[in-house]
Amino acid sequence: MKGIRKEFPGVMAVDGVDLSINKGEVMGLLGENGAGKSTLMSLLYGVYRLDAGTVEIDGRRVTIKGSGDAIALGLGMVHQAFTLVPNMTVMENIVLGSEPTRAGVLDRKLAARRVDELMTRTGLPVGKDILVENLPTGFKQRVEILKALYRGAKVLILDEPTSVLTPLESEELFKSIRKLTGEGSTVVFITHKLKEVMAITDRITVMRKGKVVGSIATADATFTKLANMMVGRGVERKFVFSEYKPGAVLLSVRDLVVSSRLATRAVNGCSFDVREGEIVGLAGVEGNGQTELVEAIMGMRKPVSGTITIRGRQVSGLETKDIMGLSVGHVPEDRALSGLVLDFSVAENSVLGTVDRPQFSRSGFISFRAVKDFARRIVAKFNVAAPNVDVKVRNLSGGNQQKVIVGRELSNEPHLLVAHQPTRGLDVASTEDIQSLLVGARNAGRGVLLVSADFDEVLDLSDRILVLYEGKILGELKRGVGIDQLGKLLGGVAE
Amino acid sequence: MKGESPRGVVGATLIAAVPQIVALLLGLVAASLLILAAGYNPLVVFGTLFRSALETPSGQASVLTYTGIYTLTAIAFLVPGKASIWNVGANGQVYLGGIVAGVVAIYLPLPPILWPIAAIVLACVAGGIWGLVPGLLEAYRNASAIVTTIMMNYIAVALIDYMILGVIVIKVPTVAQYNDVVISQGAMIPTLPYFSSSIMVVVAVLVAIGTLYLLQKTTLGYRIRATGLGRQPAEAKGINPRTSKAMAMFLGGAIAGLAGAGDVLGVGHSCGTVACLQTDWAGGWFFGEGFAGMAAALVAANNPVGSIFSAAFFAVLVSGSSAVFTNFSGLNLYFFYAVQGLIVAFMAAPYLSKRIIGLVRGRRWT
Repeated sequence: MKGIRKEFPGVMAVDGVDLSINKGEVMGLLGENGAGKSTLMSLLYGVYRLDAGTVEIDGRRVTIKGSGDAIALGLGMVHQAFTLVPNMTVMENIVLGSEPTRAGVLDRKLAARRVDELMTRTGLPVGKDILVENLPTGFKQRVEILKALYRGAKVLILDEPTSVLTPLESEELFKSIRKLTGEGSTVVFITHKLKEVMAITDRITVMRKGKVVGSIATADATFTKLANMMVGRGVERKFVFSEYKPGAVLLSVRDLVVSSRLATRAVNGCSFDVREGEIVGLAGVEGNGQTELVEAIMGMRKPVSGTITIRGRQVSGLETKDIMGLSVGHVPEDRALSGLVLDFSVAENSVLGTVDRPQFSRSGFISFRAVKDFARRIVAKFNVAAPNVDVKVRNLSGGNQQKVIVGRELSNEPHLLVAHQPTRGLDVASTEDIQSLLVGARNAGRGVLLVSADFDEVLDLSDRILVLYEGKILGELKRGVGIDQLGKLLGGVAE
Repeated sequence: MKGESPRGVVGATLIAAVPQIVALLLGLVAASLLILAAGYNPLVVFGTLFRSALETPSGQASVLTYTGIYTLTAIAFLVPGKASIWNVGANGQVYLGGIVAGVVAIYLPLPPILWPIAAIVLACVAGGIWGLVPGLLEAYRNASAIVTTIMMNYIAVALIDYMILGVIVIKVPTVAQYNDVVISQGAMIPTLPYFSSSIMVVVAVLVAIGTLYLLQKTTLGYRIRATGLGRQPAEAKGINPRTSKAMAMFLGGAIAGLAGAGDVLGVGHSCGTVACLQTDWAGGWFFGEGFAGMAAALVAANNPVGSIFSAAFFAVLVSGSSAVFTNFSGLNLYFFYAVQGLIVAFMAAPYLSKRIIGLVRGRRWT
């Protein structure tokens, strides 16, 4: 692939990338979220069309107009979300779309023989008469892989394949990958996890902000080297910080253990404080317990053990509503899913969760004059580009949607703001706007817990940086710390 | 584009209603094909239908009564719909309201004015509870209300049959004598001037406007809509979607109960919740008031005030249908259901009507 370029509205997702994949290797495509890894591979697989650039396969220049072309060229992609039919058997799913037929009817015998052959050849057995809905996740993924191979895939692209797997299932997947490459297949392994890329790949290509940073043989790579490549250092953005004078403790987390579907100890004994007038950055590659930690703080997930204290009050067991009542604002990880009712207007969204307050409603009747005034103030103060406050937020850009959320949360004047991935997927201008709002909140004496996988952001904004790795806090760094130290910690190499 | 310049609220509403009206016309065209297949001229048949419904006094009274009932059952469907819960049980809720109002009106003498009010309030509570049960089951136990409300319909019908035929409450030995059960004047609700129909149609219009107000301007309505449009963000911001769903189902059930009470306590028992139950049963009760209300709500795109108009349209269809049955052999009650079904089918495929509008305008709808 040469000079590949793809722009989405407001974001240059892939910016002039050259990439080569060698036959028979496992190539790791590493980068933080939003680095452009998945987009790049989706371009190759024909999910999106190229804005610029060329693709050559076996020295021949090809145009890929859709995934049909890609399959014909021997490419196969397994996405994070599976595309299997739950109430059909494993065999039916594997052959679906290119099933052998006799007189227009599925030839079950031939299909069964071919699927058996495939499973023996690749050494990836799955009971072929089991309904897919009854399979555990790891096996569903194996069926996806078999499906791609059945269609003749020689290059298999796995997009964050371990993000849905338990550690044990991941181990099994790695064995499968080794078997496949032993069979002559080529695998592209997309991930943001250093450990995995070190464990399974032959060569690693690191992407950052839509560009390829470099490509090294796995044998020459170290955690620190890779982490430094991933983190990089963009242009340092200047924000105006007032003198760092942390006040009273707002949030205090002690020995917190939280479990999730994928890990029994997703958060594995965390302790930290957030005080007034500081931004505490929780840095870490995604999937190291951030989501579970935030959910526990916001009362959406019950901790296994440990304590969370907000403004002197023990909050374990309290509901989200009560926790927000303690003057806590929350910018959720996924704004479109959890932050906004997309079909509500800006005005209606501006009082989501606070509509019961006396300033907005009396004995159950909403004063829309007050609500709209409030929304107009948010729009004006936080530079939301919206024609009026009656427009549905669905029609706003991602950046403006996020400004509505941050504006709403800050307008409620919270003592503590929990901002989770506040700038993910936003264009540069919106990112800077949101970041200065967070700094402004800090300067005004609020406490901010910034949870982010964007290392530049954490470095730029935080007074203190906590590095989260596999559910544990590995260390704390002060503002102005060198990038190397962060890279070292992120790689999981605690000092 | 000129079609998108602001033209005020009325203009915007009209533009929004265009696909609905087109779907309605498509339904009528499809119904005309049915009539042609039966060997009649659709224009003549529809002419008879509309004249009978709109020009005769009994037709007019029937249109008003059914408009009231269908408006209320449309609201009984759409309020839970706003919380994204499917109340297919308005029928059962209407029956419960009807029977409770009937029992109060027959066996619980109270001073005038207070009597019908007490009957109506209790009927609303009964209908509300009949809605609340499936509401709670879906909210807390994840049992789809589509299934449970239908089951509750069967239970309601069986219950009423037991109460009437089991000679427990109303004590009439044969079907023919249902109409002899007298509801005392003191328990009746007033009749409209000029028309032989109760004031329920006016009440229904007020309820429709009130529902619009409730949904748009109160915190309860806000929570219901937030639950329906974005359960996850609502929950993340401390709105309990379970309570919203249960509340919406109680409200819907109560409004259906009101429809039942209005029918039993109104002049003529046009729909005959108690009196004509047997007819309903024999004619396939499941096509009853509740389902016509659902159709009306769908046609109005779940807008309470719009439902008044679609309810009126279905009321005209059903009121004129008996003239059609008597004048054209072969077109019976099921013909009416077929027309209703066809219209709903076209409503349920908004893309189709939008595409047709696009073609008419000479460009693709995107």
